[in-house]
Amino acid sequence: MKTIRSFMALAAAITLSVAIASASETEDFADRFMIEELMYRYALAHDLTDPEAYAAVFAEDGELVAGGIVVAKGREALMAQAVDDRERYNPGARDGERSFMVMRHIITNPVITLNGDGTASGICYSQIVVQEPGVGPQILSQGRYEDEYVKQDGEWFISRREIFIADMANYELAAEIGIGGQP
Amino acid sequence: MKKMWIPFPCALALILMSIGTAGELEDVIEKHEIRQLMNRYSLAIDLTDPEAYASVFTDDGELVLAGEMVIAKGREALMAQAQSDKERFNPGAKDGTRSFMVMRSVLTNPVVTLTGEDSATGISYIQIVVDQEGVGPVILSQGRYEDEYRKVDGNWLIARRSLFTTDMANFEVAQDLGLLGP
Repeated sequence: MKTIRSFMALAAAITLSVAIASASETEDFADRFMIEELMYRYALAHDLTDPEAYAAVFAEDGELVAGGIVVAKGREALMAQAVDDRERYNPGARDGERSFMVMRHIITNPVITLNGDGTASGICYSQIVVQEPGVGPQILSQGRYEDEYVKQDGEWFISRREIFIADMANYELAAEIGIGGQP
Repeated sequence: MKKMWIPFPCALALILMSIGTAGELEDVIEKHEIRQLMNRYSLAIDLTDPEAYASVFTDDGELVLAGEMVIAKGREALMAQAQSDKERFNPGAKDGTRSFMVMRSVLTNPVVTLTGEDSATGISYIQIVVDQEGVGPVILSQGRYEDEYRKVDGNWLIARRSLFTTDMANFEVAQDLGLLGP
């Protein structure tokens, strides 16, 4: 009987340790999946020029950086940035209307590093496609985002996003469709 | 003693069910890790980082052209290949600095098939984008990778990657940018 008990205890210990190991693997996978979705969620909010949805992917003190300069910091500033984008890139949109702007952000190549302390970093590529009059969809730019993320109350947010857009950009096309300046 | 046998079938059913779900979830995790591997390859090649590049392959990993010609086999040869890429496609890069080369490897459509506990195959599409002078970003080629993977010490690695990059290619742009050659 004693042998059976110790055998059962051993079996339980093995099962538990296997369960713990796979639980942390599962958690890592879930974190990576949610961060990937965050990348896509940012692109959707941006393309819809939806200020609330745009600000919501960032942490409260989230930062948007371009050309080494902080363009917006904090949800209020990020929302103002998205309102400005809506006026520039989606001028026909009525207030509160769900409507896509002139650009589409194609997000690919997500690479995520989990730091194990509720923060993470990541890179993804962002290809901007626009409609060239008389031609069709053309690549406006091939850039990338370099990010930092934070998990708060079980949800991942962008704490810092640096935009690298000018690596490859078609400025003539940008001017042609009236979106000169930073795309 | 007899009483103990009553819940046994229920317990067994629960265990089997949980094993079933765990197996499915495990497969999803494996597939997702292989997707990350595909993306890490692209980042390493675009950064022309020889160490990062060689590290996504198994020790005896192979890079193959069009499923036939072995370009590099083994980490040392793969690292040399990446070093040569760095010189050709990222000539301005200083030693040890993080810098992107002239091409961007835009990876999409990953399809992974698990073939065993530690083996898998996969296909992905690869769109190479370059900056054409006076124009901007254009598609240089739309190709694919056909891969074999192996799990070594808990990490998925590329055992064999076959490049099919000339299915659709703009050779004129390649010529202009000086990307053609041996």
